[in-house]
Amino acid sequence: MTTVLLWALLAALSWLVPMRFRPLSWLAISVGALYTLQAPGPDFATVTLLLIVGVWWLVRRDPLTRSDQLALLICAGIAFCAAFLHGSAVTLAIGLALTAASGTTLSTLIPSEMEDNSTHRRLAVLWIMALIALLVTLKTPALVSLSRVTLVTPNLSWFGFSYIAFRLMHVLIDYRNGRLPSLTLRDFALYVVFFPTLSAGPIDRVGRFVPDALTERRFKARYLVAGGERILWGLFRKFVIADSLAYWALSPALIDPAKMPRFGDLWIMLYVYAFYIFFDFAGYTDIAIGIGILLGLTLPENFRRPYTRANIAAFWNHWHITLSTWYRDYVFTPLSRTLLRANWPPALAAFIAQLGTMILIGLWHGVSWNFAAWGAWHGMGLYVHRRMLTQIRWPSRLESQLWFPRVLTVGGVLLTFHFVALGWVFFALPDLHSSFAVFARLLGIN
Amino acid sequence: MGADGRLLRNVLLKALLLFMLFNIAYYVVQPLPLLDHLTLYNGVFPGRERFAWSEYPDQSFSVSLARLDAQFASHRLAGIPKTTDEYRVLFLGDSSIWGLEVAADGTLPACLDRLKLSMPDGRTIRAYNLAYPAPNALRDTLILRHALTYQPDLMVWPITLRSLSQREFALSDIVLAQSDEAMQIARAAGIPLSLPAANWIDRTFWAQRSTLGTWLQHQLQGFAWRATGIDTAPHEFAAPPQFDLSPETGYDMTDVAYPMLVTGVAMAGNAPMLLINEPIYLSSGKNSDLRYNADYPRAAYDQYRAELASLATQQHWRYLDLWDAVPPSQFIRTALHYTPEAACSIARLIGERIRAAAQ
Repeated sequence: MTTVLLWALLAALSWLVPMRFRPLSWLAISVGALYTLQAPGPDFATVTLLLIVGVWWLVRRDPLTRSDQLALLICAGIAFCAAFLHGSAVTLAIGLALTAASGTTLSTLIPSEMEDNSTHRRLAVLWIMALIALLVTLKTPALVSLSRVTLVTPNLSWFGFSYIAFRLMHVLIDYRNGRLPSLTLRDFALYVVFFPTLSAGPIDRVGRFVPDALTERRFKARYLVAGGERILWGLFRKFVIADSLAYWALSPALIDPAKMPRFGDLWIMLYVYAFYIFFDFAGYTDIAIGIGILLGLTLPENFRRPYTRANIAAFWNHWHITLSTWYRDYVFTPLSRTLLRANWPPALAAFIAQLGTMILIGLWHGVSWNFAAWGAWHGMGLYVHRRMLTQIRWPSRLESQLWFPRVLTVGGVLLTFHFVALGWVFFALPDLHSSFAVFARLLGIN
Repeated sequence: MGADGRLLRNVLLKALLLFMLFNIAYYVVQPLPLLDHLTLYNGVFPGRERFAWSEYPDQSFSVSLARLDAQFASHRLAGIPKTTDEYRVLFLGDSSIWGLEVAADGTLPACLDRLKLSMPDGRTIRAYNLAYPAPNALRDTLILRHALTYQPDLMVWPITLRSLSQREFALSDIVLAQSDEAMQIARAAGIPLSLPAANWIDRTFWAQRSTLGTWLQHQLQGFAWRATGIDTAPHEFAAPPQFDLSPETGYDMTDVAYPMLVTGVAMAGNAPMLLINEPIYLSSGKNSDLRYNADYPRAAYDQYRAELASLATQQHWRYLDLWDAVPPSQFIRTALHYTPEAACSIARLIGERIRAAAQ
């Protein structure tokens, strides 16, 4: 809560900075946030800066600008402060390197006519694979535990990396496909670590974000009013509603497969969990969007009343929208096309693409059987829904009734909600054994 | 000032006005005493086995409630009407009775309750846990005062030397939340007690928001309590207490407030009281010739035991000295906390003493 209020205050104060320096001031706040929110342990904040510079170096079209040099100096300054506070030699060294990079020498070393070429495209693929490998390592509990046991590092929590990695991958994929606009280092860095979106998204697109961030705006009181309203709403949804629901929500602490709660209690826990996770996530998104409004920016919406949707496809079009569209654009569509080009039967191609995409969405939350099962549950749901759309034909005497579409919608909403809620069992619990035990009790089997 | 500026000014003024009006209304109504008695426990959810308290609120489905009326309202004691065949025993005490490290059904009172011992007149002993963590005789006396409305047939008051430390009386959240009553009791006992004076700001919504939040959390946690019976975070490691001790032998015996015991027992009035000297861990490690454990030097503790026994005889109290009743292997974490098995063996001893005293 204090962090949110501090961010909101800094966002409001950034209007005092002249327009031409405002993106730099946002970058300074963002990098500061990156360092302050990173848990003690390895210098992940510094590594994030290195990743940003590394990816930008690969995808750049133009040499360093003056504002890029200032951006590098700001990052280096914050790294020096962090190195001083935490006594980190690595961060100090990186800070020095960033300072050196900000010098004019490097800018002359980089040719300004960098064109996309096959070597760079191959390097982009390597970057993407490295980011995926990093993501898998950080999201695999066994590997994280191993790091603790072997004392390689006591803490592998990399603040905001799920989002940072997806922004970097989006840029690399678009670069590889020749769709990336020209980006300065300052704008690119700001896009990757933009402070309101660090902890819980949304996963914006660089082509939308940068022009929005660079639009010249004069201060308007309505930014403060609308942004403040959205932040308050987010705080209420997260800290009042979600945190209260958390006491009743399905959780590993409440589930002992040997002593399962009563049938009714378990259904209550499941329903409460469904709303808890929505309000928790949507609350954070409101706060991010609200801070964006304070700055005069329009961040993309992530949730649009998902539980009121009448089918599972519509649900996914309104739940964690920026993540699902990311997967649709970069996994589902290319995978479907590839399979169809390889002459797979359309139905099978759709099934594989749907299931694969959803399992990957599940694994994005953490590499475990449960998240994979959650993804598979939704993948199957989406596939069945798609098949039903083409198969089901209602009798014409029913379709002609005025009440029929309404009944169909209400039934669809209820069915979709229960399908999604049952899927949360996999999401909320840590292992398949307890998940199946809960399923069995929910269905009255044991 | 443009339209935007006016909008911002109006929003801020309205917010400030609403905030002030709400605080004034809250100041006038003072809803906390009403909320203390408003509870989902003993209705929607079963009453709690012991007072709500938590070392790790996030893991234990419990919060520390400082207001005694709210504690009693959610305790199972408030939901069970006393019947003619019930011999009601209420336990005061510290964390060793409350049951730190053990589940709600593994505490000493819970074990005594399960034994369902019969009194000579045919009534069955029903025991209730009214203990609260940290030894504090003033806090116990406050709880005793509230407990008397629940028609006890016997109050059991386990204490240890630290319970009588005057310096620690004011450290309890319960004492602070019932400061007027606490001052009254301390005055009756002739014990100087300094508590922060309440001012008008303490009666506003802003000042009481944390208490209100705790009350709300406590109500919400009732569901988890019903579903799991968990009210404390189980510790993964039941580490033994400190074995090797420091050679330090100093203990300020002038800080020991026996008058608090006299006041407490007197306050019980017609309800008989059984005073118990709690079991402590007896280390045989380094410097154990100087100290019994990390808490107590031998000389100070021996002096306390002798003085307490003498006071009990002089005041004609029912008194049970169980200082060495639990073998060292049964202690966990500190010199005062023991396993559920040890709690049950102590419960049997106490049960027999209660029955013997009634014959």
